[in-house]
Amino acid sequence: MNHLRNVIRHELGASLRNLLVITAAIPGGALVLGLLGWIGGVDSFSIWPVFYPAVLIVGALLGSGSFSELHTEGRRVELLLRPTPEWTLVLVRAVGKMLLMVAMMVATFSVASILGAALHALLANAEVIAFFDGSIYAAAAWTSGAYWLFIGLFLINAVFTLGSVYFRKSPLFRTLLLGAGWGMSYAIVSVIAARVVFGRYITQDNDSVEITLEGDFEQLFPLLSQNIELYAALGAIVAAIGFYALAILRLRETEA
Amino acid sequence: MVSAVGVAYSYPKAPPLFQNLAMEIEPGGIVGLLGSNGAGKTTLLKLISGVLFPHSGSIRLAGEYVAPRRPQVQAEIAYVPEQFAVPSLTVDDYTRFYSPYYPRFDHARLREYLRRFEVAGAQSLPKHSYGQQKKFLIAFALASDAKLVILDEPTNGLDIPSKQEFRRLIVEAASDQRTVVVSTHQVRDVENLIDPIIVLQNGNVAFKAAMGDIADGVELRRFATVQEAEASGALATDVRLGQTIGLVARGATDGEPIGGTVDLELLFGAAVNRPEELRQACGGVR
Repeated sequence: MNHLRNVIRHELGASLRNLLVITAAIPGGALVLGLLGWIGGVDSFSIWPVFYPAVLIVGALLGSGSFSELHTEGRRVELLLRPTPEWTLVLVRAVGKMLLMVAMMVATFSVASILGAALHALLANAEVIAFFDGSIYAAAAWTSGAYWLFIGLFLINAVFTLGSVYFRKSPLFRTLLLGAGWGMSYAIVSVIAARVVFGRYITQDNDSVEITLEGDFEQLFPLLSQNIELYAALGAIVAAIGFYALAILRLRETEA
Repeated sequence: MVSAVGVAYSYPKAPPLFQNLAMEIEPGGIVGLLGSNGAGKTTLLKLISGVLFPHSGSIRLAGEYVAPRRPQVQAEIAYVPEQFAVPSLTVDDYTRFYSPYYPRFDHARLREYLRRFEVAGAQSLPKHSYGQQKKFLIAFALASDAKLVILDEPTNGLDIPSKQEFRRLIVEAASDQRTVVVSTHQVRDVENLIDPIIVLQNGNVAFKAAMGDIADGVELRRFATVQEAEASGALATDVRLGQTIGLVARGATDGEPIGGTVDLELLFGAAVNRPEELRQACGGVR
């Protein structure tokens, strides 16, 4: 636990300022763009639609830059010789920074949103509006959104963390390229597999494809059909843990 | 302290650098690792520290294998590479974040070293000059109290006063419990400092001996010409200020004895070109 404490203090302490700049710049930018829209007349706006994509993009960038020392000749030795287990580095640099980033992003978006709402109330002489976006204001929708956001974030961050450890040059670009390639091949294999397995449920005429599966799907896969979202989430979490584990193993065998 | 057995290593698309390297470094002292360019000094240091893995054979530090990079072993190794890049931190922040990894880190000693090296604490490390950055890393490595301190070309980029201070600090920091390995091709900077000496050549230890044995085995003599020195069996020669100096086995009668300490450049020349005869003279080992 001493090792983990050292790494948390080091990594989060050293990157706090950079994280604050990044997480403040995005809602700040969104707020400025919203305020620029007031040139034609003051109207209410929400910066929260930017929140989810921003979190996912920053999560990917954090993952991709999590082992940037490995891409620099002079810094590689210091990282590899640091007296701490590799898992502590991956846990703190990837997962720890990501969670910190989300917390800071919530805080900075909230501040920017309150600021926007206050300005709106001041200039439009209106009541202070709720600063949450309507679609995610309802508690159920918000928690569901946060749930899928975290699952997606973990998966994306894990993939890009592995890319950061694996590729010495252009890890972001190469991970994207590999991900796109893998996604395309997975889609092709899935289509072929679906055609082979479910071929008899698919009818095709000249310009349309019809799938008649509903009743049979539930009979064929009763558990899967009832809990498809749960399995999707579990699959994503298992995959993310797998990618983090691969990153640890790869780091362990990395040489200077 | 360090034990290498049957070590083989080669870089991709290059001939083997080490094929069956065996080497022992005893605890304590300042070990001088010398070798020509490309002899494999830096690679050997990386293998000893565990940032490179031998393709066969093994390297141990105080009985523990270094290749698995266990934290308790890594905490006993402080390595200042020749090529380094410092993070965007101040000296104080670097110390605050990195020192907890070393259980016996001595903050008072670091402050003392930085004062003597004239390195300021509040300034960001990347804004320091290369020499200042190197002095900080050397000071940090020595203050870590690691059992093995590895310095690759430590005097490159240091000004003359800093080189003098470096020599003083190294002498103070070395102890029976701590080994400092200094790899350099600037042998003048480490003259009268290193003991023992290890010379690498063609992927092997060409020569290794304690300075006492070397002083007992060879001496410097002045000759009229290089030809005369070579005819007298000099192991290495050089012409300085118009005078021919030869390194000869003790007991030789030709030439005029100069006295003084062993000249490292001549010793290195003898170790590279006539290792067998040098070993015979000094009782050195491979």
